[in-house]
Amino acid sequence: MTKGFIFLLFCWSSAFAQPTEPDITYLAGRTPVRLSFGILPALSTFAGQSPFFWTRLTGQVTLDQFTFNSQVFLNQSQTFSIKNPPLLINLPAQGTIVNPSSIVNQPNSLEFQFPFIFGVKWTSGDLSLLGSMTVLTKKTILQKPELNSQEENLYTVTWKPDNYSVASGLFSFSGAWTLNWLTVTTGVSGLSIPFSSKPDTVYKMKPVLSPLIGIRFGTNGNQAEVKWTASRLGFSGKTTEKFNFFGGLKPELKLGYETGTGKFSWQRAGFEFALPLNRIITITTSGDWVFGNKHSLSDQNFREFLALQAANPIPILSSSTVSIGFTFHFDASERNIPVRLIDSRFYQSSVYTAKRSFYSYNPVGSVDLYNTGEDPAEFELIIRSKNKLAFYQSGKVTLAPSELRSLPVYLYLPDTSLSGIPVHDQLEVAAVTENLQKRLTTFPLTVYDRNSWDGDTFSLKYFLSTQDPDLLSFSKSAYLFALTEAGKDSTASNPLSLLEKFISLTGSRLQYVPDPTSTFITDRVQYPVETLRRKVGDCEDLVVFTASTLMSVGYNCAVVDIRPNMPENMQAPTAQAGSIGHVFLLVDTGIPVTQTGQTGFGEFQFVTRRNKLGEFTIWIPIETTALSEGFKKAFSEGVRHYYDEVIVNNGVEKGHVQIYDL
Amino acid sequence: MYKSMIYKTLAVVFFISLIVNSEQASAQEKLWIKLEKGSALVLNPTTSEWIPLSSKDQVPVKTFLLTKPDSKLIVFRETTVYETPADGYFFAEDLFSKTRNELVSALVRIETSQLPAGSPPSSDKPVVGLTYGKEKELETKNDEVPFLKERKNAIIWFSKQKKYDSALLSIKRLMVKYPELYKNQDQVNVLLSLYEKLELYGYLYDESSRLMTQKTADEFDQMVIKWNDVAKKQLTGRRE
Repeated sequence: MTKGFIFLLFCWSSAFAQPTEPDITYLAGRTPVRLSFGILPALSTFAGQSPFFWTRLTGQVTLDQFTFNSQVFLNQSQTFSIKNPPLLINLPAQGTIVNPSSIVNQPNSLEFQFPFIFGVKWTSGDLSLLGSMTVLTKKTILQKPELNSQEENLYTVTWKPDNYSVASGLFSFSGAWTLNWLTVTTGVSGLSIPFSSKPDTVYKMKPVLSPLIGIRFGTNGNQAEVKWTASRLGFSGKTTEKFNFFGGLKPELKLGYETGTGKFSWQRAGFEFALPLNRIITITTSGDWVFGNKHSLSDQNFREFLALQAANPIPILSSSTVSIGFTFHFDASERNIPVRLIDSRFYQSSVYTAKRSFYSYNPVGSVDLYNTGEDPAEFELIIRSKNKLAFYQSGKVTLAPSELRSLPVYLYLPDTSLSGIPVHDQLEVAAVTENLQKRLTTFPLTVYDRNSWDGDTFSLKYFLSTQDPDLLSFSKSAYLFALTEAGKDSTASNPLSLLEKFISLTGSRLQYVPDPTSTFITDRVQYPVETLRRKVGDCEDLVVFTASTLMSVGYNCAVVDIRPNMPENMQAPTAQAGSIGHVFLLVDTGIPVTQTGQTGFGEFQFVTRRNKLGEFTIWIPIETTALSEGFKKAFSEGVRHYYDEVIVNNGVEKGHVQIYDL
Repeated sequence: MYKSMIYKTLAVVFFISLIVNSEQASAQEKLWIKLEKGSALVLNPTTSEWIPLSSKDQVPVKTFLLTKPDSKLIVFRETTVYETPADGYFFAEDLFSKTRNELVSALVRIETSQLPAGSPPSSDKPVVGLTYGKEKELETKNDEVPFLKERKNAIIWFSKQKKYDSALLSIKRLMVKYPELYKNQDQVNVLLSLYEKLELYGYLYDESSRLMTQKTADEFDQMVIKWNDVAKKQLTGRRE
C-alpha cells in the first residue's frame, strides 16, 4: 500500500468547502471580474503509513453570472499493492510454451488519482446550476511473464512489470434553488467519458449514476446543510457572524461530519477556519479525520470500492490530515457598496468662488442613503467635478443595517481664475471605500469666478481681505499718518478725529465707476487689493475696500443694504447708487454711547449698536461712493441715506433695509 | 428676445419703485406749529442743525423738537391741536394719539431705527478665541446723554397729561438710543409701568424677562420680578 486515499478527503473537502458567495451586488451594465487562487499544503497519515506531504492548488474566476473553479492535486495519488496468489503453471512433459501471453497477467499494484477538477457555476437570481468534470487516471502495473530457455525442455519464467494506463473524465451536474433561507440542491454524478482508446480491463472503475440531494438552511452568514447520496450522508455548518471582530473582516468557520451508508462503514469529521489577514490574503487551516477499521481489503471489496470511486468517491481506511495555506483574492470588478440612494436635494445650482469658505461649512445639498446590506456599511462620500472645479470628501460614514440617513454635501472650491466666464460643470456624488466606489447621483453646477457676486449683501464679507499684505501695509501706513495728523491737531478733542482722518486718507483717491453693463445679472465685486490698485469701483467695491481698511486697523463695520421694492422671489444686485439698490457702510467708532455728548452728534447722525464685545457704541453711516469728496460729505450722505430709508421710509420694518455685520 | 423683455420689465419695476420711494421720501408729512410763548427749536434731520422756530412754522413730522422753559408750543395736525411740554425734547410724531396697532408699529420702528444686527448667520464657522489689546477707557456718565433733562421732562409731562402713548414712545426712544439707562431703576420702572398702563403685557413680559437676566441690585431685581409677574398673570389669564 502506498500513501493514498487522501484524495477522497479532498473530494469531500472541496464539496464541503464550497466558495461562499460574498455580500456583494454588482453595478448594472458592468462585467465584474474576481479572481482568487490558493496554495494549501497538507500533511497526512494514511492507514498507519508514514506521514507525507501533498499540495492542493485552487483557482476561481467570477465573470458576471458565471463562476469557474478548478483544483489541482500534486503528489496526491493512491496506490494499492495487490497481493496476488502464486501463479502455478503446469507444463506437460513434452509441452512447450509457445504463447507466453496466454498466461493470465496479474497486476501487483494499482494507482489511481484525480489530478484535476474543473467546475462551472451559473447563477441567476435564486437559481444556480453547477457542472463539474473530474479527470481520473489509473495506472496498473502488470506482471508479465517472460519465458527463457536455459536447457532443452527447461525454462525459467521471469515476471516483468508492464504499465497500463487509462484516463477518463467523470461528470456531475446539479442545480440549486434558493427561497429565502432555504436552498434545495439535487443532481446526479457518475457519468464517465474515456479519454483513451485502451480498454480498462483489470480492476475496472465502473461509473454508476448516483443521485444527490441536499437541503441548506440559513443565509450567507450562518448555514446548516444536509446532503445525501447513495453511499454517504453528511451534515455540515458554517458561520461568519460570531467572529466579526477582526476590523470588519470576517473569519469563517466550517464544521462537518459524514458517515457511510452503503456497504462500507466509515465516519469522518473535519473543520476549516479561514482568517482574512486583509482584503487580499486569507490564511486557511483545516483538519480532517477518517475513522475506518480496515487497513486492507479483500479482492472482492477492493473491486467494489474501485467501482464506487468513479461515481462517488468515499474514504474507507483511517487517515488524518492537517493543512495550512493561503488564499489570495483579487477583485478587479467595481462592486456595489450596499447603499441605495433614496433621495437627493441640491440647494445651490450656482456657486461663487469668492464664497468657497461658505460652501466648506454650509451644505450645498444632501443625499438620503439607505443601507441595503445585513452589515454596517462604511464608506466616504466624495464629490468630483469633471473640470476639477469642486471637490469634497467626507469623513468615514457608517450606516447600520437598514439605516436611512440624510448626509450633507459640502463643496471645496479652489481659488482659480475663470476669466470671468461662468463654467458649467457636472458634479458626481459617489460612495467610496478603500477599493470600491459607487456613483450615487450627478447634478449640474455653474461655477462663477472669484470676482462674481451672487447679489446677496451677506456675501460681501467673503470679499474682505483684512490680512492681505499689500492692504495691511496700506492701511497701517494710513493709520500711522492719521494718528500723527490727529496728534498735531490741538483742537482735536473730538474722539472721532482719528477715524475721520483715517477714512479721508484711505478713501480720498477712490472714484465711483459702475460695473460693466454686460454683467447686469451677475454683479462683480473687486477685492480690496484690486480697488487699491485701480482706484475705482462701484458702491459695493468701495464698501468692501473701506471696510477692509477699517477692519484691518481694528474698527468693526456693518453693511446696510437698501433694496428696491421688488417681488419677493426676484433677486436684484445692488450695483448702482440710487438706481437699483444700494449699500453703505456703518462704522463702529468704538466710542461708548454714553459719551455721545463729546461727539456733538445729532439724533440721526449715529445709531447705537452692540459691537463684537457686547458694548453699546456709536456707529456712524458712511456713504463710500462719496469718499472722494471727503469724510464730511461721505458722512452727511450716509446720514441722509439712513434718515430717508430707515426713519422716513421705515425700511427695516418693511424689510427693504437689511443690516449685515462684517 | 425673452431676456430683453425681462430686462425691460425689470427696468419698469425699478423706475416705478424709484418714483414711489422718492415720493415717500419727499412726501414726509409736515406739521404746522404755533409758538405762543418762549422759544423752541427743530432738528434738521439731514444737517443735524437746530433751527429756531418762528411763531408760525412748518416742521417735518419725523424729527425732534426742543422747547425752552416757559415756552408754549402748539402743534397742529389736520384739525387736531396738540399741546407740548415746555422745557422738553421729544419726537414730533410721538405727540399724536395712536391706536393700539399704531402704537405697536411705532415701538417696532423705534427698536429697528438703531439698525440692530440680525441673528448671526448660523451657517458661518464659529470663531473662537480671545482679543488682546489695550483696554478702552470707558466712562459711563449719564449726563453725557444730550438733553436728558428735557427728555425726562417731556416724559413726565406726557404722563401727567395721561398721554401714556406719547410718554411710552418718548422713553422707549430714549432708552433704545442709550441702553445704559436700562441700568437705572427709576427709568426702567417708568417704562414698565407705561407698558402696564397701556396694557402692552407682551412688551412688559419681554422687557422684564430680559432685564431679569442681568445682575442688578436686589431692589431693582424685585421690581423687575414684580412687573414680570404682573405680565404673566395678564398673559395667562390667572387671577389671584
